[in-house]
Amino acid sequence: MFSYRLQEQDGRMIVYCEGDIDIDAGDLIEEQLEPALQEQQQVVLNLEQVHFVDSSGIGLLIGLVQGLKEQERIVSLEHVQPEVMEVFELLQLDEILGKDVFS
Amino acid sequence: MSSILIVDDSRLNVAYLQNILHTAGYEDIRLAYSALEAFRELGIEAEQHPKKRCDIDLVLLDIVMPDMDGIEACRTIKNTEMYQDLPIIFLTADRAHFEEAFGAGGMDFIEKGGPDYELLARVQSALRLKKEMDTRKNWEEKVQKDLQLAKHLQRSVLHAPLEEPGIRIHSRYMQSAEVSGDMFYWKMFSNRKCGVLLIDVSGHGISAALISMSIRSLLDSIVGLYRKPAEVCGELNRQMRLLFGKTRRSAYFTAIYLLIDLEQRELEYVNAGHPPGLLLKQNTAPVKLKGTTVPIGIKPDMKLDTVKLSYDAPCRIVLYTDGLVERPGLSIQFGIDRLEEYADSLHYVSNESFVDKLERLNRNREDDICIVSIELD
Repeated sequence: MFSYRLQEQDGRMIVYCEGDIDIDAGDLIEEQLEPALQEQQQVVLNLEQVHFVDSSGIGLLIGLVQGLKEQERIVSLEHVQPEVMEVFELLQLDEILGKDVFS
Repeated sequence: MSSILIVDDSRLNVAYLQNILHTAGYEDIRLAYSALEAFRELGIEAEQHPKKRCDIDLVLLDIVMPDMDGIEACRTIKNTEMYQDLPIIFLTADRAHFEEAFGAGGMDFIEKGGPDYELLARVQSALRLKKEMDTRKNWEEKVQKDLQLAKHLQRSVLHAPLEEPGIRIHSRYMQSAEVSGDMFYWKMFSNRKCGVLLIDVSGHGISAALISMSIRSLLDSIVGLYRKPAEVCGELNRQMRLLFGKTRRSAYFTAIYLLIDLEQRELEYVNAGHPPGLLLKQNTAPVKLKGTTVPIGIKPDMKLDTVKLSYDAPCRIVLYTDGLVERPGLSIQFGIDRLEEYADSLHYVSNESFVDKLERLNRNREDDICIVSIELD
């Protein structure tokens, strides 16, 4: 079960994500989170409480981050858990989203 | 038109209920004066399942009857698989029976001597629920049949094992949701070269299967025409973006494509975000065919560097999709290491039993699983 909490901090919008990012997270991410981030210049996805991301979840992350980057927003992923990072590396997510997202 | 079965040992009561229902417009009313007569009507014989489902939609069942009472009769009917959803309304004058009656599987009750409108309201709502349930069940059965057919169709496009001098290829293909987003393909070229491809479409179920089948239909011409890894993967990426580039959710697949030169004992590959293939040779550390680029369908311009290496025969190359190594709560790297260790201990078995043994490694059917093993000598 995926959920998130938004918190503004020093002009950046932090998205504290929690739970599995898979197909079931789709509606929440696309219909609520994406619109909620439309006005933000700088977005940080905090994945500390995310321990599982499957291939559908990767698709959702790509959609979300690329959508924001296309509008010239600054996006980064933080506190990615090691087991999730392994999946990101396998799929070469840094190559897809840009290395700056992982800094 | 709904059919109602009234079961009551009192003929007076039966006639009374029949009259009310008939007046309200229910035409198909059947009567039974004991539990046994009701069973006969439903086709339930002693210790035997009915051969054909009787078309009754609702049973009105008296509780106090000689021989077998209504509660026992209700249990028997509910224990018959095809009648699990048949609504049963108890007829009773005594609230003391309620707990046991509901425990036996009764859906509702009608108090004897109560007003007619109450009886009719309860009958009507039970029948409405039954109708909705029937509609849903029919739909589910139709979808299931459809999926079974689709499953066979998808399996029918998979290659049979390949056995040629110097090369044998075997595979296992396990569909998690009847149809799968995994797909494999191979082709022998006339100059003793062989192209082998394994793909895994993101997500699973019908939408992933639609993508994998549409890609499958392009493979004869793409692999046949381009042959070389960078060209094959580049063309797949182009086609994938043409076909599915406009969908709202990112549609992509991971893939590994090898071109094996059996004469020169060389292979070249591109691994597009796919778990590493394993090159296994006895007494030699396994070689991982690691990722070289991003998955197919995501970027318009993907890097297409090819890795080339030579191999010593006999050896084996195993390709698999992440369903084989992914387990909830465990790191995928752990699954890959475990697979590597296990696969590396199986040099003595034939290629066919090798894939059989690997299949047993993960019984997790949450995801599709596909294994392709190439034996070279």
